[in-house]
Amino acid sequence: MPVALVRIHIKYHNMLRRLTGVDMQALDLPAGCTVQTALEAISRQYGHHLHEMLFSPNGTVATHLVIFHNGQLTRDDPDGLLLSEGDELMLFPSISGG
Amino acid sequence: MFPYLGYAGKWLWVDLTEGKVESRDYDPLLAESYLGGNGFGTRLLWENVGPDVDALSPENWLIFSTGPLCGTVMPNPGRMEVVAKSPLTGIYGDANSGGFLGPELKFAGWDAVVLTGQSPAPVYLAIEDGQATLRDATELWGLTASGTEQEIRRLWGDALVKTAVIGPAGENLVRYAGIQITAQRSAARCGLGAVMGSKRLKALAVRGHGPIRIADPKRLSHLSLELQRRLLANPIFPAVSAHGTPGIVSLMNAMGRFPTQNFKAGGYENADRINADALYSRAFVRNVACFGCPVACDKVYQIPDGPFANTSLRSVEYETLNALGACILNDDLDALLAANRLCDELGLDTISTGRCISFAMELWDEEILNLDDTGGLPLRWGDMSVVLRLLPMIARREGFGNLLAEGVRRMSETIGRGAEQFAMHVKGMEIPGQDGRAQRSMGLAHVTSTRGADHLKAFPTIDETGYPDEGRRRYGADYLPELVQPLATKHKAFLVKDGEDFGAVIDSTGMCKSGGTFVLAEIYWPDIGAAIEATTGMSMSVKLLKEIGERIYNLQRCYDAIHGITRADDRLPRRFSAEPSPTGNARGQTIDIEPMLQEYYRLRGWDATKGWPTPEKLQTLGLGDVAACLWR
Amino acid sequence: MHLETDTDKCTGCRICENFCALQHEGAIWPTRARIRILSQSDDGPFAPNVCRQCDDPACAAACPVDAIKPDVEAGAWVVGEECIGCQACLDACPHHAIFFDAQLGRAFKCDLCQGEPQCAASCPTGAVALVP
Repeated sequence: MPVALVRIHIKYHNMLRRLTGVDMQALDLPAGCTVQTALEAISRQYGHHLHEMLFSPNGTVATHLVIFHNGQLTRDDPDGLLLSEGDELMLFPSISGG
Repeated sequence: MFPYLGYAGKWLWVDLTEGKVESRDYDPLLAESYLGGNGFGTRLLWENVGPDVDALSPENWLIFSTGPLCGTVMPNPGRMEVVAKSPLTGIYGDANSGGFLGPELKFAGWDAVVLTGQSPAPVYLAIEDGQATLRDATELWGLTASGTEQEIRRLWGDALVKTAVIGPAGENLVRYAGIQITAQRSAARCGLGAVMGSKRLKALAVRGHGPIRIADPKRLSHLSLELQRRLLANPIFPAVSAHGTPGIVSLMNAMGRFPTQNFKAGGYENADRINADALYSRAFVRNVACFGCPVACDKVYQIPDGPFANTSLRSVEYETLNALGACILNDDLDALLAANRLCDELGLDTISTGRCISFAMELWDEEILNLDDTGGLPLRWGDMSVVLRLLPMIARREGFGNLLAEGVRRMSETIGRGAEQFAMHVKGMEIPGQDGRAQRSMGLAHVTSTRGADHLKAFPTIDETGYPDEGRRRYGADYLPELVQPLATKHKAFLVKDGEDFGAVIDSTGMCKSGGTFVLAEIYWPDIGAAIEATTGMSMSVKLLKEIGERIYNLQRCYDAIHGITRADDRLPRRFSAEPSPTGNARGQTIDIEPMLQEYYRLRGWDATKGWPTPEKLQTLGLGDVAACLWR
Repeated sequence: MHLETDTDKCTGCRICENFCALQHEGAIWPTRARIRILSQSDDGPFAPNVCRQCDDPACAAACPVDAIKPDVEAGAWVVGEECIGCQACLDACPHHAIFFDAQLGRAFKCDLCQGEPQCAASCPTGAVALVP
């Protein structure tokens, strides 16, 4: 039986953009996927430098990653946050200043 | 004999009216109670420039002041503080710049330069090691910032001369003229360039060849390398280093914290055209560091082609990308950079300049200003051809520029007709690039800052997007999660107070807030205490250091208080409480600072009715003399 | 052993100069640093310049009293007490990497800090590195 897919969009900024070489991409993921699933998918796609920006050494999503889900800042458990068709994730390194 | 190392142990006193330059010994008690830099300037201003002194009169003092860690091996020790009464706000004023000037002054053998009076003709102060003289600056008057520096370097035959100069804006007493430090960095805020201009002082030029002696070289070396190691190991160090402050443009935009269209909104639909990625791909040339800085957040940029081809510049900051970008609805990056460079050359603070323009553009939009008022200039949002024409008019006080040169508060008073409701300032200082609707602590910080609306006094970075690790490390788990949540109000008074006290200390040591102390949040009270001990030989517990921070901040507040500031002045423009933020993470948000403010007064030990430090509080800080003067 | 430098990585921060002077003089003192950042302008590019520890150094050859001798352990050429301050070495060095201390009346240069050069240890970008 074919697995149902949802299409989401991911926007990259700052070092994440430099590491991926794109500012935005579409990603097809199995229905029922979470933010964590999405991060794991792009981490596989772009290799270990990106992986280090997204995940802590212990495998959890890095606290220095800022994630916006459909425009809202999310600090919730990325593994508990379900993604739906058309969702947008925006990813930043959590820099601060001015 | 001054007992502490790390300091030069001497400062220069200059009476511009008499043309006298004298060496003064640094007072050890002053060093112990105020460290240097910001604290030194605050104390001198309190003692010598009273409420009856106009900021642009000869009686104002202009204080260039380094601190004990300036010019050492600590990470980011290149900062110099400038203190005077502000002609923009009429209260306590300071500005701070990185670069190389502060360390150079110490290599020349001076901790500070204090100027008073007014020269009969334009002069500049030339400091070559122990020799300091006032020299004729008639030929320099009227030159741009970089033109002035180049000419001084040519005259001296030395390309390594470090300078602080004013451009035409300072000469013409624009109330937010900055002081350019080595031409393209800026001690920008509070209009201290106009104070310099009022004294007919075109520049400071410094060359030093001597040592800064260190009390315990091994301890300082070990500590500094350890701090550098911690900075480099921070997971977001690469992002901060690669892009500097522009790196936060799109992030703050998504937060709804990126002032847009004179603060109508906190997000700009075209922010990605003026963000770090755009800047990097369009114009990046190379990384450049201030003295002793491992972060190197500064970059050289050059526009490769188009109408502004070959314009090169440095120190393009988040604040300028906001003030000359989103806040005036400009998404033309090249024109923005050209305007930035022009502000540097004219000696204009880009924040206040941009805010005066966005204010005028909103008034145009609201039909409060028309062509008769502007001298025929239509002030349409984002029209950079008009902005680029306006900048020299402001600096030279020509036509409509003469009104803009007065700053937002005076503009609103002069224009009337309801302009006041669009005037985005606190205590006369134009609000920089944050929005309390999106970050509660910044709203409070704008209000409690001793120099008027400012993010850098408290500089709450830990809750901009939420730094749980740093928050836990600095303050303990008890303060989480609210402390690091941008929209929570709980614990924010505490965060702001701690930031103000720590910031006062950082600005008094000569270190930087952008490279480890606030941004990256790696270096904190114990590190600074240890560094002061290793550098100077002074014993410096964290308790003592915190007391110094409080003392400096309380004294600044007292200075404001004797100039008539009370709690009635501690408020944000109505827009922030009345108009919900339309975009980003802050959508639908307003801010009520009142509960945070009351908590803040309580934590500070200030009188909640007047908003002044109580006599008891001042006594505990060793400021009994100040209490007697304030509460008589 | 010698120090290698990389202009592309140098940001002009002078951390190397400062740690060098602190190690040798107990003070931050750029004019006594054994390593110097050279640049044509404040905007760079920046070139760290330091003694190459040449196999057959011109400075040692030019010295009339043979004061410049190898420190075998550190792998560096060092200026000995015999130096008479004639500055012939300064003229001879093609890299301008040996300096004169007018107060002491002696030449001074990089001694690789007894094998642990502080410039390399402190450079945050790897623009100065010790190579075998």
